[in-house]
Amino acid sequence: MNGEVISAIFSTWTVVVGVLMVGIGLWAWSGAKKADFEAASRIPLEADDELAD
Amino acid sequence: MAKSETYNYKVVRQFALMTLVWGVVGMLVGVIIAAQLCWPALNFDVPWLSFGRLRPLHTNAVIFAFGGCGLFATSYYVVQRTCHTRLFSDALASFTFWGWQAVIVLAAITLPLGITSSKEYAELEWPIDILITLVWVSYAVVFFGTIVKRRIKHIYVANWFFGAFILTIAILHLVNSAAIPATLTKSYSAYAGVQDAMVQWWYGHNAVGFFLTAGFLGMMYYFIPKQAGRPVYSYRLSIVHFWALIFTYIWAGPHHLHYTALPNWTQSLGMVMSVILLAPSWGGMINGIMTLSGAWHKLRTDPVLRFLVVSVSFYGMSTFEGPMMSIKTVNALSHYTDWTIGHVHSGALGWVAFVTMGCLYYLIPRLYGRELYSLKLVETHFWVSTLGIVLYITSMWVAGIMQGLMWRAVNDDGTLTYAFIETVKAMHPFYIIRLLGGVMFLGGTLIMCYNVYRTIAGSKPVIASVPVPAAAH
Repeated sequence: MNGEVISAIFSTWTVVVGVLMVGIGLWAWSGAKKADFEAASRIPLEADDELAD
Repeated sequence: MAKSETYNYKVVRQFALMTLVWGVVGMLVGVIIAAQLCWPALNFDVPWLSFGRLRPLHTNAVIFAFGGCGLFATSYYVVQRTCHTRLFSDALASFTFWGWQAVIVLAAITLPLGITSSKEYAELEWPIDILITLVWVSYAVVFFGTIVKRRIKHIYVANWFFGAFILTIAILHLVNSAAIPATLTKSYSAYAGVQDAMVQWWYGHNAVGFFLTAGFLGMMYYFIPKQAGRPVYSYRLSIVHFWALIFTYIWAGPHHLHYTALPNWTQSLGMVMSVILLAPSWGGMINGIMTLSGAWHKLRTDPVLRFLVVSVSFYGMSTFEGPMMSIKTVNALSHYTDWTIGHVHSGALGWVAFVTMGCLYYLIPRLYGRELYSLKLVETHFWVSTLGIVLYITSMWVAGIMQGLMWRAVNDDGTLTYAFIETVKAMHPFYIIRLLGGVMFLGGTLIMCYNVYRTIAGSKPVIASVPVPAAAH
């Protein structure tokens, strides 16, 4: 593969990852997973790790 | 609730205690070299006491020994607690502990002897690099193996940060440490010239981004909610924070090579991505601080929470300062000056060390089943160390800006206004203030060591059961 092809692949990949990043943001704020996220945020608080004494 | 399996706290305890031990060692070496900058005769003309050899020992000790042990301890604790399962392999976890200690001891021997690859933050020679690789692969197997055998469906966000830290550091280490061995103690980089510099600073900046940021954000996302008794402010923001940080950080390395032989477009790209990085960094900072929303009053009475929250404030400060310093016109003044040292230490002391200490103050009582010996000592530690940081970073800011301005000052006829030695002399009072700041920070850490010693003396290690079955998610 010559340098131009490699450069085109990398450029395309960069755009794909950038679009994916924006997509993740929109998905996170879409509201579809709101209840799941609220439950997930409580995971550390549910664990029973109080002092043994 | 039936309880049969227990968490592996032994390895967490081992790493937690060694975090403190190496913290004292690394900070002490830092204080010694800060004193040498004030009074160069303190190297006693002994080669292995010279600044050039002790400085990498200081950076390796505080980053990889203190910070590394803190990351091992907290990640092993968090992944077990949030997955409701014991570590994937006790034997491999134990190997990571002893292997990592061996790496640190070897570093402490070879660096003062002048055995170095001369790559910043990657100075260790190839046999030690191979040992690091073995330990790190084992770490990845233990961590991700624990994730795979989790009893909770959702992978909590702290584990995403720890996972990214483990994976990225593996890639960075393998690529940057590629070298051709000449002897047992000498190797040559696989790269040459500007490519070598680019790979080095791709590694160097992402060591900051993934070792000193992503991993410690993992701590933030577990221990701040835990200590505050409140869930993280916005879980969806934490997801965006994660992906934005991962996407952006990896590009920022070229800002370390402004005005060098690196192509100009690469420098500009590094600058632009560094400025963009401000957004995810501050998203995470706001998420951490706002977790206290509705519980601000706890800061008055809980010095441990204060450590954690102030650490996030320093994270916000240094992640604002970093992008500003990456702007080429600002960098023209700041680069190679002590401003950079001030910036690094606002992140290293204020963010990394404080969040680690806050986590240890949370962990130690739970690992040993006892209340902390003295909250008053935690309070004292907090104020002594905070004052130390303020002295350190303000003196370096003033010194650095003055240094940069003196270097660039020219007379009407185009000659330099100041000889280099004049700038060195001008730094002297600020170096003494910096030394005082460093001594205070070390003093605070010694107070913590005493407090921890009194807490665990005569105690019995806790054996904590894994709840079965876990709550459904």
